[in-house]
Amino acid sequence: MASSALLASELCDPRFLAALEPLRLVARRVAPRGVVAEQRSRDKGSSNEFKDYRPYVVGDDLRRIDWNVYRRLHRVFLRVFEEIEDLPLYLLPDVSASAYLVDADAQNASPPRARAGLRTALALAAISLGQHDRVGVYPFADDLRVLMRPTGGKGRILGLAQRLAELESGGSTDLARSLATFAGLRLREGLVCVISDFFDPAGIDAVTSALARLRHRLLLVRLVRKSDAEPIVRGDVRFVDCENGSTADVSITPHVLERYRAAHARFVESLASFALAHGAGLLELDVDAEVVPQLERLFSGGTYHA
Amino acid sequence: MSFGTFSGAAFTIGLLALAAALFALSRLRVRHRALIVPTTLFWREAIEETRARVFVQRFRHPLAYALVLGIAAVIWLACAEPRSAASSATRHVLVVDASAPMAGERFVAAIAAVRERAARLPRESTSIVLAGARPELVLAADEPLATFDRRMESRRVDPHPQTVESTVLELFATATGPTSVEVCGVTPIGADLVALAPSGSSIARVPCATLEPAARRGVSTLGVSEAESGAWDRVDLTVVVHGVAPGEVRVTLDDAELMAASNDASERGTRLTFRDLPARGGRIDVLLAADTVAAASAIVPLRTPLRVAVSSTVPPALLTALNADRGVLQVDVDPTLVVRTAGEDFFSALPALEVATDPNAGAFVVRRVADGAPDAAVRAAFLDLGLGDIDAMELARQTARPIDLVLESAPTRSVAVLSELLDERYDFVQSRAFPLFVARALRWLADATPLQPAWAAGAWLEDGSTRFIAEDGRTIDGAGSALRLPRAQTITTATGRAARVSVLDASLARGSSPDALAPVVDASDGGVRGTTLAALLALVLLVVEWWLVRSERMP
Repeated sequence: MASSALLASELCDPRFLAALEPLRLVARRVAPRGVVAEQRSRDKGSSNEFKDYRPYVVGDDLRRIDWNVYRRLHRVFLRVFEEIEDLPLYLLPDVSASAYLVDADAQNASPPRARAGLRTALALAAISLGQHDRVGVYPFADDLRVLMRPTGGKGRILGLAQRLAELESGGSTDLARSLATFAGLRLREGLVCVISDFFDPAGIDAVTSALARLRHRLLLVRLVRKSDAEPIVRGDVRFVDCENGSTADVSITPHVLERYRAAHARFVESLASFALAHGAGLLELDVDAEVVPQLERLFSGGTYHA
Repeated sequence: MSFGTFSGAAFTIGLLALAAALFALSRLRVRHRALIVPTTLFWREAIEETRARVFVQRFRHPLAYALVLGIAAVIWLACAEPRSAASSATRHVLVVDASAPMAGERFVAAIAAVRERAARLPRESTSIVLAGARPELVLAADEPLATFDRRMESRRVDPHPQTVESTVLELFATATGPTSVEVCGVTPIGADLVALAPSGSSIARVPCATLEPAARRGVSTLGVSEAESGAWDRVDLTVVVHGVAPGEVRVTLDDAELMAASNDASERGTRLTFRDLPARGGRIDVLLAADTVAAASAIVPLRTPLRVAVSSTVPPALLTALNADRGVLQVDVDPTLVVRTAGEDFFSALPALEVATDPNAGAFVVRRVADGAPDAAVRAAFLDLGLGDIDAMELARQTARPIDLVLESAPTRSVAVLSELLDERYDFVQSRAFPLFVARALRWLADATPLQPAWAAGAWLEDGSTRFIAEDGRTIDGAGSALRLPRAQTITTATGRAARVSVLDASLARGSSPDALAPVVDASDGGVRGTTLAALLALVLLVVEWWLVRSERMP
């Protein structure tokens, strides 16, 4: 385990939080048995928002009978109101070694992938906490950890930033195991946001299979760098996997590069196909660019509909 | 095919070594530059079908090896300088001019140029001949060049006029196949000699910046000899010039122009003879055409008269001969020689020409300090005293006695002639041989060194003889054929005369034609050289390799 190379101030500052103000996370319907918040719930409750009528059955609350309808139709109907609850947001930031890899020529710089991923997690947390939703943070590498159980409250954002900054990088990526652990937590259905490069040694198919088993809504944030798709290397190179130390000796030729690009494209395509097929959101976040403007693209018109 | 640089075996061994070295190199693992990446997933997928360009304990890329080996082999072939079979059939003979004009730096430069040239020719068919006093094979075909270096370490030029032309002629005459003769030296080779090259043979000049063809104009012989007239204080002068008409030669004695008694122009040069020049130590200059600087100069020997005391008892015939000899000064005091009657008390300690009265004594008695073999003494007596010119048979008939020569040893030289022979009844005193005998006897007694004729090395023997004794004592016998004089030295002719053989003008090349040799064209078979072809082929293979790599057909 390597120590963290990030500062809380790198992840969060007032300007960053201010830029997130206009953004909102809206669920079509949240799962029942949540706390009162701003999201429409599948529960029918006691809010002021009228939803529908339904015939009276024995045992119903007599206070909800619409007597005007009874007078007009001589039939007893009950008024049904919306229940407004929270949307739990489960953030799963990738803290594997690949996220904390820094460029060879920039050893003292912060790891761009981890920095962007954690800023994204913090941004989403800030948005959710700002609309009274609960947020849980579960960083993962070779397994899932619990950094913050689902909790609400705007005032937690700075504390969360500090805790994210203090995260230590993990080892190899094992998404399947991590998601299985997450599923085992039996959390209330919410929005699961996986923020990762998805470079799982098991391959993208294992990743998508594990994601498909989740009973939550999904938002996938893929952390990308330009060099992922277009590596700038020449000659005879021994590529060392930063997570498991495995090597690949390659003599770079145009043909090899072409095959690399094809393999990378298949990887991207697999993830995109999965997201489309499962109604999951997918954001390809360039880690070397500003996070908020890229999030704004996800929040079309300032709102993301989960 | 043959190779200019290596033998066939060396070429093959080198090629095998290259193949082995490249094979070993091909098996070496490539040292990769380590690069840490987030994942190797995509690289693994990318190289799944395209293996890396490394040889990990296995030989994976025969095409790459074949191409590299091909390129290396072709470059090796270029280094070996391949030659076609037709080129190999040509016999190359490099002729180094080692005559006198090549003395000094010229010879060194010529050796270096020939060595460099030989290194570029097929070793198995290239030989080197040194054209000195006589042609000498200094490097046979197939001998290594190091042998040539060793043999030339202590070689110097021969003090002899050029023999390159005769050497080339001999090479052409003995050529049994296509022969390429390449000459290096200053000797001009005329067009007439070039035209004599047999079919398929050629002659050219090995380029050497410091060697320019020598002039064909100059003096080859300049020498004084005893005057044919017999005058002691006179000498004859012989001048042989080349490349100049007789009318363009001016010979002066102390700046006074001399008139030639005879001139004889032939292919051997123009021979001018000047008679009876005073032997007073004057300076002779030979000027050619409009030159103001003498082409050759010599000093006429200084000859003073012999101081001879003559006894009053000697016969009148002898007195007459003495009076006629301008080289004799008859004195009464302080003589150096004496003419007297045998047994007379008249300057007894001095060398004397005596008239013997004892009939039992020999007709001629020569007394000398015994310092050599009797045979040589007899020969010297005949030659130096002029006894060979006497008609001894007729004299013996007239006097009815043998005309014999008696040699005796004595502390002082003397010559005795029987008084009977000096009788005017006999032909001896009347003959031309008598004053010569008297004159030569006196000069022999005075131990006066006779003038040696000066002959030019490389020329034919002046007296037409076919035998002479060289300086080292060897007898050179032409077996009836005329002989050329060898290197500069002193020889003894068949007649016993010593002659000085010299190379008078080292810059002179005999002959009349200007140089007609073209420099060696360094292209075999009139086409593109094998080396060039091999280099081009290597270039093509490199382009093919580049294309294969670029098009991913080869790692």
